[in-house]
Amino acid sequence: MWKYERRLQYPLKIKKGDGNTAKIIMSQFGGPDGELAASQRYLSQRYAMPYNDISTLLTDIGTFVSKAVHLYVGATVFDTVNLHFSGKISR
Amino acid sequence: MNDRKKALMRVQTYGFALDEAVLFLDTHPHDEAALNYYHETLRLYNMAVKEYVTNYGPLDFTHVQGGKKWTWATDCLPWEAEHNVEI
Repeated sequence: MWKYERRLQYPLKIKKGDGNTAKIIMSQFGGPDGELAASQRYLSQRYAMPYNDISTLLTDIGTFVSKAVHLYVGATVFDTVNLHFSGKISR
Repeated sequence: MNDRKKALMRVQTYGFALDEAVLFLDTHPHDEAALNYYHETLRLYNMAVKEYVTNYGPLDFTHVQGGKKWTWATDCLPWEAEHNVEI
């Protein structure tokens, strides 16, 4: 079970939005090789792990990755919102 | 950086150190130095959380102070600009 903490794992400070960077960050977040999918694999596979300490490790890694995923989303949102308001929307 | 952001940054710093200590201890469960590090970091983290939630707002839904507003839902979200270090 999880409890959500209303903060980012690491502070985010973006000076200038950039559409290409946003695309790269989104590609790390989503898709079959993305961090989101990885976090779900860790959290689903721990049930079949016969060793408790490794099951715990899978839980903790999955939790850590789920936290990191917020940074990806945050960075992408900042990048694209900054771009939109500055009038330079990339294709 | 204003005081709220400094307080949040302390929570983030100790929280991150705590995450790292936990992952290390998962694979080194008898490491005495790591266990001591964990206890010290946990103490600092709890202090930082207490300072933040007493003065600025809830970090999880057990932190809502008595009052007239359900601050859990009304405070800004961590991916919004004003919640973070200056852009």
